[in-house]
Parts: sequence; structure tokens; C-alpha cells
Amino acid sequence: MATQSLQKAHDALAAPQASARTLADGLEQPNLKRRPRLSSAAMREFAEILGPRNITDDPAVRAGYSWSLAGGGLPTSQQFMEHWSVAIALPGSTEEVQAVVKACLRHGLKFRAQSTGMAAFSCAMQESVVAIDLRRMDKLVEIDAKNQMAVIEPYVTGAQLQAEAMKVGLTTHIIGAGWTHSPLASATSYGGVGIGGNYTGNNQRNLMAWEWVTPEGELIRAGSAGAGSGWFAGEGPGPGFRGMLRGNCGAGGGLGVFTRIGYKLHPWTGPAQFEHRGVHPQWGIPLSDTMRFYQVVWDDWEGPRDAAYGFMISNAPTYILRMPADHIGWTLHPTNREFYDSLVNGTLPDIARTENRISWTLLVLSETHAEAEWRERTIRAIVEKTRGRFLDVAPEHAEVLARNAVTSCYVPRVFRAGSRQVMTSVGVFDSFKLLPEVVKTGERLMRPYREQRKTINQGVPEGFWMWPSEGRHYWAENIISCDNDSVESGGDGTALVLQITEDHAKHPRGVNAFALGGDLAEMYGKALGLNTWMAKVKNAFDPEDAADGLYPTGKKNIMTRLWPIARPFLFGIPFLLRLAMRLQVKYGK
Amino acid sequence: MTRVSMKAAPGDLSPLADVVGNISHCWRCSHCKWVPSPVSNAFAHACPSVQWGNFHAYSGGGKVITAFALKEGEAECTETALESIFACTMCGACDTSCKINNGETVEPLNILYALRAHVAGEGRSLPAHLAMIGNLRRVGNSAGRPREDRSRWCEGLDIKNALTDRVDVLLHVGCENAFDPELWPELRAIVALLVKAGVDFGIAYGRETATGETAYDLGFQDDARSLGVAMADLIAASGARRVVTCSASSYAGIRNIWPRLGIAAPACAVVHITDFVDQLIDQGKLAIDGVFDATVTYHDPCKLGRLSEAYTPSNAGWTKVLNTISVRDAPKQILFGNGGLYEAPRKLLNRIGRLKLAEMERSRVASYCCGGAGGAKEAFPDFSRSAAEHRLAEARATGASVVATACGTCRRHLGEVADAAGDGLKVMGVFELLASAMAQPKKGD
Repeated sequence: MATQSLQKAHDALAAPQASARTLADGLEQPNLKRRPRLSSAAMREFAEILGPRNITDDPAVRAGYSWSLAGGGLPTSQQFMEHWSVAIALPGSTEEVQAVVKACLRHGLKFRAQSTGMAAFSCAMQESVVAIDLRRMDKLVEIDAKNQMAVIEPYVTGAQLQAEAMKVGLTTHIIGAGWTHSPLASATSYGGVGIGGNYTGNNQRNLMAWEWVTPEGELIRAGSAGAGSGWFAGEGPGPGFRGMLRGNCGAGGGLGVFTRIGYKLHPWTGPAQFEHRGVHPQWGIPLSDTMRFYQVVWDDWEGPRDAAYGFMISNAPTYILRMPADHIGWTLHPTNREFYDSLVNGTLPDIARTENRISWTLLVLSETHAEAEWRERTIRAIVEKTRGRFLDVAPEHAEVLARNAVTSCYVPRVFRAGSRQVMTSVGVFDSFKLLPEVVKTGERLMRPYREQRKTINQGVPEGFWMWPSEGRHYWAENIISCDNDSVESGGDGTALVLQITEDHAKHPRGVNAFALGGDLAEMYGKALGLNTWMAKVKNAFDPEDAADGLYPTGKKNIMTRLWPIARPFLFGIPFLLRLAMRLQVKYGK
Repeated sequence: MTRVSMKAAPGDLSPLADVVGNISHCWRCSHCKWVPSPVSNAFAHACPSVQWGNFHAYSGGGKVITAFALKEGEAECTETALESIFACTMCGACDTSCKINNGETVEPLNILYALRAHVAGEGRSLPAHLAMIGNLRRVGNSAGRPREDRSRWCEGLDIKNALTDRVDVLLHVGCENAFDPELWPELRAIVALLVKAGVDFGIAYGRETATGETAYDLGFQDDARSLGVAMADLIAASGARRVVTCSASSYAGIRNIWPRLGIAAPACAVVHITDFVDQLIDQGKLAIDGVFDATVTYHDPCKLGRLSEAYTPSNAGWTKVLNTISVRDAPKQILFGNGGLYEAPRKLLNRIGRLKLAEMERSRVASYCCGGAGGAKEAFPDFSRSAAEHRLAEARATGASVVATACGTCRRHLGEVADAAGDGLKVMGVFELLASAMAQPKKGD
């Protein structure tokens, strides 16, 4: 079967068209990279399904679907992913998605769906992958205000859904990637967590019923939609296996294409439309008697830990977030230069100063003055009991931070610290009792890279974003920013992620939320048998391994074969780990 | 601080060489596709290009990646590539949206200008654009109209010649207005107001020439410079104390494009006609005594809005701070669009009795382009019409019966598409509307 698939894929891909280009005099003229393109038969079939304007294998278009976060002065090959999608398909309906998947299978091609396609998360991870860009499927089918839910297609963004939801007194969860993300993609296929998580949950459970084109091209409606009963429930009366389908991190496209979902919304007592304060891009939202902002700081990490329990038990604050102080600084400055000048000149506001980094940012929404007063009294009592203090925050800063809390608008500013970013986490989905230890671990592991090697961003000592997910679980994640002009920095960033993951494996602190896809699942999922279960699900639904994505198949590759042998050396001799990661960054292997 | 080389290799003559550092910071967040703060699902899009072309390559960020792919030989200037690059009005909405979070790190509009210059330098410009450039070189306007036709609009008006009669104000007409009979009532309404206010003004008749921003948009920066210099010389020769332009495009060209080309700003003040007339009213030299009993929505022209923000040249490079953060190593202005002209046209409209001004969801810095500029209409009329249809749908959603605008190109293009729709939505120039109102004096209200 595998040999037949390979032959089919070979037939579907035409010989690459090499040609030279013209450049300014005196420059060497590199050949156009030899990239495979679709055969005329495959192209004809896709064009019949989608219309000729909705399929292309032109490298100039494919480049936009192969862009890597690594860049700058790194070798050119690293500005793009190792594998380019062989074609880009733009289906406009579930039926067209189904037809594209079946055409891929007929031609031995793989496929990977994407919605807004943020960063490199949805790029092809292997050869012969057709990118299915779901941009044309952008219907906000319905908002059911009474039942606090929406029915959406893949290309509705968080901000679009929120704008419509607010008009009927509801709001939505927006993940940390920011408001341009697709709630459908996040709910079905990725982690799905965001800074508003205390109030708006996380997308693992905001997902209700769903419509799904399986890797074999079968159309399945699951949950209540499977029984034709609407989109309100993910588990029965139709088939329900939400957990198996998306697990903790989602399959990242590896289990097919999701085309419509029921999606949970949350009550909103704020305005029906945001009124902007300030000057673009520093827009804030007006605070009011029933929308109050507090910044609380402590002298040690036990304070915010203890306060978190109080906040969650009382349910007094609506949005609870800890941002690193320097990230608050970026949020309050439109450009890197202005932030840096404020830092150097000593004019950063108190809220953005490292000495005030042990903090919670609270946004409190109420329906009435009396309720707002009760919430404030409760918060003040908790802060007093945990020996915290309130920081004075300039109104214009509070308004910007309030907007950010509700919309995740400024969260992506973390990417300003260098276009090569890696993420990791410790202590996820567990108890807040872990908080001080998590912070300590982050500081310990990051210090050599921040202070001695100077290869990762020199922000606050640990760099954690934290919040209570679903009003109960502890969530902590760390964005590690590297210098995109340095192979050494890029390699160190990856090495640090692995060190944190390894440390986490040896001293478990909740779930390691970003380390369970692809090869990492094989490398670190064994302890809980996760890799085995993910492979079982993958192989049951995708026997041809046609859906490119994050779920492992259980098949070994060079990395996973060598891992048990290399592991003790890499972590025993940090230099070796850094060298290996540097080579990985440089050569993409 | 450690200096780094976020720039292309030495000897790289590509116009893209200067923007390599910016390109490397694009992380494909897609912020460029949506307005900074959507108010609805229907009108959340910022970019007419990707809304029409759909593939990521049509978006601002997509073009940034295309630029790198072309520069590095990863892709070629195919028909599809050229469509994705030029089915775009250069409206700058991607730039405004990108900067919400990316600040100075990407600046997509600068990359788009460089990309178009790169394509032109490679000799791959579209035939429609080559024809426009040929016309600009030959007769100083992209439509190829004879120079002597520039003043047909004012036949019988007895306007002074600003180059032979000393005048206080050089009234700059603009190519898009001068040659289009449909826009002549707007020009004549302006003249009537200036006469009424006692302004000492004149025009340059057939010697006025394009200000260069169209050539710049098409990637022909040398032509843009030649045209700009010629117009700057003409302004200087006039000796006028002020230039008042009726052209949103030229207003953007003089304030934003000339500094990029090294053309010195005119010694005299350059003012857009909406701003000038509004000042005349504030000074009591003019009164708007009329009514217009309708709901009107105002379309912010990209050229008059975010693209007219005054540009200050800088040779700043990049450096790294705090180990990894890219910052400019010298002062460099970052354009967020806030310095565009947004209030004067609205103030004028609000002075009209009974007129109810209803804002569209996408306005001011986040205004959605009409689709008429950047050479897009000439090369890709279907795309251009699509943009206008989206904009008019948004106008209709306000309940307005009239769309007012302060740009001849927008007025012409939106008007054409609205007329084709035939649903009664009318597109008018601000002064056309003012003239209409003043023809109906207030009666006790």
C-alpha cells in the first residue's frame, strides 16, 4: 500500500520547472529552487472541484504557506520551511473540502488544512502536502444568544465573533495568539488557551458539536449535530468523542478537516461595541463603575498563589492575568524603540517595572454598582490577607490593558522581541500550589541563557504568563524570544525548550502543554502512554497517513530512533545539546 | 548593544535590499488582513486585495513573503505572482493594521513599494502600467490626455494664471479631477467658494503636471522623482504663499512620497482644499448657509487619510537590545496613519443644515479602500470593482442615501459602481454636496 501511495504521489507531481531569474548586474543568479508542482491531471481535477481561481501550485503563492518563524540573518533556506506545500486549495464549502480530500487520496497526496494560518503552525511538515486554506469558509452561521453559543465556520476570527457576540450581551474566548485566530481551529485542533481563560474557559471545552471531513474523506457530524439536534453538545446524542479527537493539544490538522462547530460563548456585561480611547495603536476601552481595573503586586510568589485561591473561590475578579512586567511595558508602548527608551531613561510606569513583576492584573465586570462594590470589597480583603498592595495605574494605561484582557489584542506584541519564538510551559492544568516552584524553575533554567550566554531575551527573570484556566486550573506558559539574526540564539532557544521539557519530565508539574505533538509526543509522551494512544487514534482514522499534522503515527524516524541513545548525552553535556540545536537551526534537520 | 546586519548582502542593488530587516520580522500573524478593531463580522476586512484574491499572497504579509521569495530566487514573476502584487491599491490598510502589534518591525507598505520597484526594475511591469508610465512621461498624466485639456473644466471662469499673475494661492487641480468631466462640478463649486471668500488664487493651467505618486505606486521611482521635481519647480516658480490642492492623491504625494524621493518640501504651505475651506469658514470669510436633508456617510480616501501622513526620511538601521529585540539605531518616524486628514471634510459636512452624518464601521485610519488607485483599476478592473462593492455595502449598512468623499478617484470609482448597482445610493464630492446644499438656503431651521 505504501509503495502504491508513493507511486501515486510521484505521478501527481510534475517535474519541477527550473529556470533562472534576472538580478542586478554583478550578482550571482541563483537557480529557482527545484520544487515539485502538481501534474496536469491532478491540477485539472482540483480545478474542476474548486474552479481554476481557487487552486494554484505557483511557488510565488506557495511561499506564503511555507514561511518559517526563523529568519533574518539565518541561512535563506531557514526563512522558509523545509517542505513547501505542493499546491494551495481554497474550498468554499464542506462538500468542496470533502472533494479535495478525496482527490488528494486518489493522487497519493497528503493534505493539511489551515484557517488564518498564523505563524508556521500550519505549514506542511512533509512532502506532497496540499494546503487547504479555509479562507472562503467564513460564515458566522448563527449566534444563539439564549443558549449562549454560536455556530461558526473556520475563517471566522475571534475578533469578528466577539464583535457580533457583544451586541447580544455575550463574549468569546480569544487565545493568546491574538484576535486574528480562528476559534474553530483552536477549539478542534490546537491548545485553545487564552489570557481571558479565567472567565471564558478554554477551547477544549468551548467546543460543542462539530462537522468533520475525516482523513478518508468521510463527512461526519458529531455531538448533537450528529443526531440532527442542533450544535449545542459535543457528547451525544450523536457520536461523541471530543477528548479522543483533540486531546490536550489537538492534532493540528492530523485528523482531517473541521468545517463547522457549535461554540460556547460567555455572558458579557460590558458595552455592545467598544468605544476607543487614545490614539491608534494604543487604543483602550473606557473603564466605568461596572468595569474596574486593578493591578496588585506582592513581595514574594506565595502572595499571588494564595490570592489566586481567594479570587477563584470568591469569583470576584472576572479576568485574572499575570503578564511579565516587560510585556506590560511592550503593551504600553507602540514600538520597541519607545519601550527601550523608557526602560533606559527610567521612565517606565510602575506597572511595567521588574520590581513589580510579582503581580495579578484584574479586570472586574459587574451588572450593577452594588455588585461592583461587593466585588471590590472582596478583592481588597483577599489582597490585604495575602499581604499584597494595589499599584496606581494611569487611566490611559489601565484602559489599554483592559482592552488587552478582553480581546487579547496586544498579546502578539511578544513577537516583537524577535521573530524566532518558541514556547513552553510547566505547571499547566494543575493546582496553583505549583506557582512558586514553577517560577523558580523558569528562573533557574533561563538564567544562563539570559545572563551569561545572552542568547534569549533579557526580560524579567522567568517570563511567565499565568492565569486560572476555566476559573480553577493553573496555567503558566513561557514565551522564549530568540535573536532571528543568530544561529546560536536560535539554537539556544530550542535547547532551552528541551531542557525545560526534560526538567518537567523528571519533576512533573502538571501537563506540559506545548510538548505533545509530533516527535515530541514520541520523545516525552511515553511516561503516560500518550504517544501510544495518539498513534492509535491517528492510525484508526487515517490509515494512509494522509492528513499532515501533529498526531504521531507511531512510526519511528531518525530523531525518535536516536533519542533514547542521545538523550543522556545531550542533557548531561549541555554544550552538546546546544550544538545539536544549532545544527538543527542551521540545516533544518 | 550589539550591532547586527539585518540587511541584504553587499552589492545587492535590489530595491528590496533596504527592507530585508523588515521582511525577516513578518511572522505571518495575518493582522494585515483585518481592521484594528472590527465592529462586525461583515466589515472586518482591511485589505481589498486578499478579500478578492483569497490566497495569502494577496495580503500585505503575503506580499512581504513574495518579495523575499522573488529576491532569493525561490519564486518567479509569474502571471499569478504579478496579479497578487498588483491587484492591490497600495491603500496602506495592511500597514496600519500590522503596526498594532508589530510596531516598527515590519512596515509592510514600505516593503510593497520596494517590491513594486523590484518588479519594475526586472522589467516585469504589467502592460497597463507601462501604458500609464508612458503617458506620464509623454503628457504628464497617466490617462494620456493632452496637456491643453487640463483647463477645459474652467472654461469661462476667468481664473488667474498662477505662473504669470502673482497670486496668494496656487490652486492645484490634480490629474484625476482635471480630465474627468464628471468631477468638474466639484471643481467649479470649489472655485465658487474661493471667489465668494475673496481668495486671491490662480491655477497653472496646462503646465500643471502629475505629482509623481502614481508612478511611485507602480514601482517607477525615477519617473516619480522627475515628475515630483517638475511640479516642485512649478510651485516655486509661482511664488504663491500657499498651495491648495484639490487632489487627495497629490496631497499624499507631496507630503508622503516626495520626502522618500529626496524632493524638498515646498517653501510654502501645502493644504488640502477641505482643510482650506474649513479654515475660511472658521475665519468668517465664508458661510455655509444651506440644507441637505439626507443621511450622508463619509468615505475616507486612503490618499487623504493614512497615506497623507507627512513622511520624514531617515537612514536609521537596526540594532539589537536586551539580547534579542530589534530596534532602530537612530530616530525614525513610524507612520501609524494618525497624521492623515480626517476631520476637515467631516467638519464641512457637519456645517450643512439637516445633514445627518453617519459613520461607516471602517473609518479614519481603518478606512476601507474604494479600489480605484495604485494602478489596480487599470490592470485588474474586476478586483477594483469588488473593492468598491464591499465599500458601498458598508455605506448602505449605515442607512445613508449619499456617500460623500474628498477624492476625485474615489468619487469617480465609487460613483461608477454605485450607478451600476442602480439602487439609488448616490456618491458625491464634498464640495458638490456643499454646492447642492447652498442652492437650498436654510429657511428658519
